[in-house]
Amino acid sequence: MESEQVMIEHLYDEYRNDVYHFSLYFTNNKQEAEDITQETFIKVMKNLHQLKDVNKRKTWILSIAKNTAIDLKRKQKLINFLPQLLKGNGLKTHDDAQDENRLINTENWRELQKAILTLKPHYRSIVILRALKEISVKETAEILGCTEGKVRVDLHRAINQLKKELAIIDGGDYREESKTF
Amino acid sequence: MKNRKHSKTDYDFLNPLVDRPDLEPDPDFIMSLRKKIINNDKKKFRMPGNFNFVGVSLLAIITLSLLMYTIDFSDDSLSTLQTEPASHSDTTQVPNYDIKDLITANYSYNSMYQKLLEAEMPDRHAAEVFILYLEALKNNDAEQYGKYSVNHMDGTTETLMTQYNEIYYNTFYIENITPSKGEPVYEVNLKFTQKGGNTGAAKIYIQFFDSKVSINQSLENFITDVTAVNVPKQTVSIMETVEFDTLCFNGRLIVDMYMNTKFVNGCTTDKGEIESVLSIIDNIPIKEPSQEESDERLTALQQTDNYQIYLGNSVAYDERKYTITLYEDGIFQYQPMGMEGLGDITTKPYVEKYSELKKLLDEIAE
Repeated sequence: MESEQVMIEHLYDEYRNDVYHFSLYFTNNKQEAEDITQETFIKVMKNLHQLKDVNKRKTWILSIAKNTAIDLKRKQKLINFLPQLLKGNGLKTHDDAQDENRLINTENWRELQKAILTLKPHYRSIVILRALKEISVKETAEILGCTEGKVRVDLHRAINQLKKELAIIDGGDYREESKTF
Repeated sequence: MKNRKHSKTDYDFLNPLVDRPDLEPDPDFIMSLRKKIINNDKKKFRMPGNFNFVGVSLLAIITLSLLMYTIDFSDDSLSTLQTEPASHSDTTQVPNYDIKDLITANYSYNSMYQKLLEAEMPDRHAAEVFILYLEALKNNDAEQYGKYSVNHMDGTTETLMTQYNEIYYNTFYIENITPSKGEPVYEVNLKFTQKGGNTGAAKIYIQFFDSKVSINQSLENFITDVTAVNVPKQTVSIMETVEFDTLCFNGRLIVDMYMNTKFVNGCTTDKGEIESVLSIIDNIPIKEPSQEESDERLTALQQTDNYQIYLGNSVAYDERKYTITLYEDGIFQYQPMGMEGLGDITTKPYVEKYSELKKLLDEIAE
């Protein structure tokens, strides 16, 4: 029993920031990032016995975080589908959380984050994992459950889409600017 | 994150995001979640096959422990050989009083244990003593019982054990915990279902005298049919009270180890199917939830493996007559149309009924 406690503590300490960062980039909302982090580690704990290859613990945990983040967004849609059930129960909705001023104040990175939020979940995950968290192509493929080739192709497409989105936000051509980096 | 390697890439323009403000989690959140993970949610915790990932330090600890174990027993091999045959030949089950094992294996124990911890009694061992006390009664273990009970010398032990042997131990739940105003004593009101089907109740006092936690329970405070003595049995019969012809449902299920989920839903107007579903959840004892229980349900609603069943009419699909929520832990929630709040919930978890319903709904799902 003692080892179990050590293990879960170790996993939590090792990956809590990675999970939180992913969640924050995915939602741009601190409350939701905390919810996803919490839910991810509860799932990790409940399903630790399913982790057969411990060398893949990082990709396993991040894939759970990714699925949890996507689920949260789906659930927000489900909650809208069930207003009667939840009405008056004090459940914090996405809008409530925003009202609590928990949306991060942004400066010059704001547009980048805003653009990332426009990407579909798969592209968003790829950009966060590869470009922001610098996770290898191989590990990203494991997290997303696809081939390394698909990661490369989809990252390229996601980045292009991101640049187009930034061009719209800025009212200029971001892609052209980016060539100077 | 600040020490990002700077090889030129097609996505360097994202660098401002890498160092965005507020990227690091709130330390209070980190601490609180850590505490929660370690203390509260170990119900389904299992060891993975391989645990070398905890690093060299843990490996070293385990190796050292194994070495010490070996050395310890090799030094005392004679006494080990003398005592072991008796235990090997003994086929009766040896009671296990490891609190972690007990609360891991028994949902009711776990739930009561958490509730006792939350009561913030003078000594945190109270939760452990309470569970071990119940386990001793279950095992007819007078010696262990005597360690915790102040009543072990008054001749009631045997009767009390007989009564506890008539209880389904997985139905125990704590209704409330009330501290005494004058003494370091807490009154715990316990509810349970007996093997004959009656609902029972017991008042158990946890005492904190002379730096010791002890349990005080008299036979008078053990009621074997609370429904007959106390409150009238409250149940809900949807089939008799709600007019509808359509049953719809939805739920989200975990489908693999990566927590991928799938959405399941379906509708049926088949009377046989509707009856099959409702007969499982009709006429179950219900109650109005406490604030604490309401909060717990709201948290549970965020998890997967919960279902919602809607009753309505095929001609006016959007007009729902009734909603029943099935939670993974076996608690069901009943809510007539237009009712604010949570409605009523079942008085205890019905895990087997949940599994039965889940199977049935999966068959009906589109």
